[in-house]
Amino acid sequence: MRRILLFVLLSTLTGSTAFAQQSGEGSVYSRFGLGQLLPHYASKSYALGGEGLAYNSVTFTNLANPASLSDQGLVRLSGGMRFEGVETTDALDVQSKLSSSSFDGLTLGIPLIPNKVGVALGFSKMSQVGYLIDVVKPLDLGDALDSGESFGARFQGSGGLNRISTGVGYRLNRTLSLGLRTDVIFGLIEDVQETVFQDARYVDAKVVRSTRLVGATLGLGGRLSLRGLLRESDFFNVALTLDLPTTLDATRVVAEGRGLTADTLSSEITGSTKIPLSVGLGVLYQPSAKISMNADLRFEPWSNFSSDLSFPGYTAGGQSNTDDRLRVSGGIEYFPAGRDLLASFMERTAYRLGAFTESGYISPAAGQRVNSYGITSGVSLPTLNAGTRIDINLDVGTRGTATGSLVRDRYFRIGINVNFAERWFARRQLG
Amino acid sequence: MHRLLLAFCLLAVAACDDPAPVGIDLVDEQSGTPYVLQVQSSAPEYIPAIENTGNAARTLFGSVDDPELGTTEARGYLDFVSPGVFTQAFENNPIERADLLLLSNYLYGDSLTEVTVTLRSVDLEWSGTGTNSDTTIFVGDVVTQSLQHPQSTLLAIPLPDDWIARWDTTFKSETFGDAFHGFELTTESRSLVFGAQVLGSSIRLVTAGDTTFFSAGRSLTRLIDPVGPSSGSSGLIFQDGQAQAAAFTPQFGAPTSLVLNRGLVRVPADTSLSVNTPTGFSRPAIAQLQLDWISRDGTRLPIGLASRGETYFQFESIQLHDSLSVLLRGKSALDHFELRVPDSDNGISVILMPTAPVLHLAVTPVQR
Repeated sequence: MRRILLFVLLSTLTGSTAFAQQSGEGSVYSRFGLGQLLPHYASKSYALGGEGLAYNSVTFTNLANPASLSDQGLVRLSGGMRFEGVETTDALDVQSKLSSSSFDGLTLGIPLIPNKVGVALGFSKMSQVGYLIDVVKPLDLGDALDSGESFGARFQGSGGLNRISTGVGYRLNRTLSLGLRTDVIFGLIEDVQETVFQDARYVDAKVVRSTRLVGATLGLGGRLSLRGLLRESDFFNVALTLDLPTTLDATRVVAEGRGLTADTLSSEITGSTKIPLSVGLGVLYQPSAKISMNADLRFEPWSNFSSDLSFPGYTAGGQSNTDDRLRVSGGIEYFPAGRDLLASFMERTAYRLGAFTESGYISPAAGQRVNSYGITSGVSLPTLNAGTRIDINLDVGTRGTATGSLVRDRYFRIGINVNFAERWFARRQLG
Repeated sequence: MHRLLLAFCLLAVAACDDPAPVGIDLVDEQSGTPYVLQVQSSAPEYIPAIENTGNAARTLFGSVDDPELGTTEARGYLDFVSPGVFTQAFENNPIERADLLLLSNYLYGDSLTEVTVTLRSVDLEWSGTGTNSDTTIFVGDVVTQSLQHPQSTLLAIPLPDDWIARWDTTFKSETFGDAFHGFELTTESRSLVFGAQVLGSSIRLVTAGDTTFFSAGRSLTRLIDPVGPSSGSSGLIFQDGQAQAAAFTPQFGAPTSLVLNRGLVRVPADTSLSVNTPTGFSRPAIAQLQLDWISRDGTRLPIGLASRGETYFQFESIQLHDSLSVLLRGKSALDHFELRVPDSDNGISVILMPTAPVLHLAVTPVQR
């Protein structure tokens, strides 16, 4: 318990600065819409294709499906960070390489009545914006003004949406669990445009467009558990989640300069941004304690997206390049030790492999789709403390295609996550 | 675990970014590419202005009937400063000769015909600092008249013996400043206006064994009933010394999503009035203009000075850049720009503004 408290303290100290922050940049596609969408934080589900809706919360806190929170037996605190490298290639085979590291998320799961009622609290990124484009061009101002030969333009984006989630799961009986989750969504998306001149008579410009979004939504989850379906010791889970559509309050300020020297270019623009519902369907089949297989599907009708404020790829009251988002993923976990607590280190290590395909919810131009494919993997290493594990994930994937104005991202992610778990609130047995 | 963390940290540190223009086509095509926005302004028009001629570097005197622009009459005033310390020879000997020496550095009018310069004494004390061209100065009788050639760069006007005798003691006393208030300079004919440089002009006093100079210190030019030229079909004729400024307003539309990278104002300048003159007639062209930003509440913000180029005056300054940036965003309380000749360039020079000033703005479009 002391270690968990220490971890909470450290996470609070480091996480408070890391919240909504990242260092470095990634895909240019994150510039569009509200950024790249990310699932609820859970290192295990990251390694299993990215969802794992039908998993219970025995070995991780599964906030994506609040119904799973009912299965908790230990108080569990998880947190992690990730490093991401992106290599972007355009149609002319020109490449750029960018990297970033960021705080991934934090969850705290507490079983109120072990394997019956559980609650959880979590912080995770909902979307991520991080791009950087540098270009040097000849400066052609005609005959009206004399000037230097070239100028540099930089387009940079950062930020994204975050969510603080509070969930409760209740197991009605051996078969059915239900859960409820509230998400407070907030975030700041900053798009920076800089123009730098070779000629000292020209004043460099730095324009920062800051969009602040805040709102809340409700997530519902249900899970059916069927045991002994094909074998005596197997079980089969079916999960259904529904995140309700919500409206975020949006405030935008466009300023020249930054911080104390910023000079507002226009008056503050306020409006609302409507995020569509999100439906998730997941299945899990566990033929034995050694192996688990999951498949998930998520659908979000982003074609219904509307906003009073324009975003790249979406013009308020005008053209919208949004499209329905469909994400299909699956994964397999191999845990050689099964229920043998005295097995070797390698046997008590969990090996995970997954894959996903996703159609992007927004594209740079109408009629274009930015699809992603990826392979996810990870190992979950045991520690001397029985409930505590260190998860190391490695994902590789590709996004978009290098044709026309589009680019192809190839990325890899390395994530390191720590799960502390201890038994709290248990009455000590005497004698 | 420690090794694992170390490896992760090393990986994070070792990663190097290599941003490139990859994906630039995914950014709005126009964003980030500067271009020149030309903003036309209203045709310049005359507005009343105050000619602050007190203690200018030059004092004007004379009268000219310009066949193109009408009559201008200027009266110049100079007061002098005692050197304070004198030689024995100056103090003990009577002043034998006194001359008013004027360094001529400006001519407007007939530069070939000699003119009679008239000197009058100023009776009451007057102030130079902050004094305008319509200030009343009380003058006394004519001290002397002297025929001068316009081409002379040094006008030497001998002062009469009776005037010297009357002022001999005063020149040598400590109360010179309180007792003597200088001269008024005018011309008898209406052919020419002189300009005398204050610095270097003096009263030269000659005694046996010594020559002492009382330097000009205070100056003023009075312009008598200035009418000023009127604009014709060829544009606005702008003449200094006519209690007029030229005002214009840029024709900005709605606030724009643009950031200003460089902004300048070009005021067209046609010197044909100074080139095409009658034989021997000098009509100097305005060499320098000052641009002021006048807010709707009347606040005046000096923008800067510009020297005349081949065909225009070009104003560019940090102050102008900042002001135009605000104007571009539609937040400015600008009423109009005002053009005038800097007070330091005291003259009656002229320039033709054939067309309206134009603002040349190098701007970068901004993503909204």
